Amino acid sequence: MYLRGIIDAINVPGFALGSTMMGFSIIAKEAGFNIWMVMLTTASVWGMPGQVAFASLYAVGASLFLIFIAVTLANMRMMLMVISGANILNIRKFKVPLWKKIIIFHLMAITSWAQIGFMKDQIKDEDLISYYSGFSITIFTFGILGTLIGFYIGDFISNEFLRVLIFITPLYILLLVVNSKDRTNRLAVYTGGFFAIIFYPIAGTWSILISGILGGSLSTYLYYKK
Amino acid sequence: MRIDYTNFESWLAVLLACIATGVWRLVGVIFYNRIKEDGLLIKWINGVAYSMVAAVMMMILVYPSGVLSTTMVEDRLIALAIGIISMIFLKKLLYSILISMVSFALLVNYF
Repeated sequence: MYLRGIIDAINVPGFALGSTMMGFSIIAKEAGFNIWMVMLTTASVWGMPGQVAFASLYAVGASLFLIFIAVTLANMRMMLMVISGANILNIRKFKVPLWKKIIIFHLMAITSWAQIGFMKDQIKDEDLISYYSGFSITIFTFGILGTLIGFYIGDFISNEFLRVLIFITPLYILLLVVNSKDRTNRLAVYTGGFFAIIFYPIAGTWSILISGILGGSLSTYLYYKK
Repeated sequence: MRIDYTNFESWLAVLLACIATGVWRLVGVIFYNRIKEDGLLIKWINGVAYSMVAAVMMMILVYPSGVLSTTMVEDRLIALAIGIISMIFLKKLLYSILISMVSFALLVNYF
């Protein structure tokens, strides 16, 4: 199952994430990061929206305090993703050593979380953790490679090509979540996406939190009303 | 005007960004151990997580920054709709992504 995770990752998800990280690396280089800072940011933050918020604020010379607050807010959803991911993986049922837990939760980000939600019904519970490990470690490798390549390739690749590459990540993740087996979650995807479009012009990045809570609550309420 | 950071401040910024994310993951792990599985709370948390992910992705697609903002919002949304419709009918993730991606490339470069 570990191998199947790796194989599934060396596919659209790996290349999608690699190209997203290339995009981040290009933004970060423009902002004034050196190669080690870019690499360390990808490896230690491992969450695209937070990384982009970080690089964008760094570019305009914002105070370190503001950077800290912005990244904290942008990545608040990591908490929900970890809770939800631990639930999907059934972590409590299996004896997982602490070091493995640390790796599992550090690598828990949108792509790998959405993937296990998508695969949950096709893989036995006891195999899901090793599938996830293979998948997420491979995705991480692609992300690191993408960051490295992006730092140097920005000058060679045309924008026409790059923008199609960057389009793949949001597309891939939306198609994964929209196809969730659970009706409540599917409804949450449509409502959350819809609210984000409405609230972003008014509330900026806060719209993520607002749309998430509104969409998630509405879909859970409708499910239980039935 | 751009303000340059000292070398120390730059690395401190990276460290802070790392802490800002790690802290949420840690809080998630602590919370998970206290929540009843299969309860209403976990159902709601899942719903909010799905909703938030969709919100982040729609934000990137509708209000992008960087290279993606050089394309038109109509093109991005049409390509997304093509992808979702393909997914509903074909039920194949890889094909749906390819169809949507090719449509996007064509829309952006030729229309």
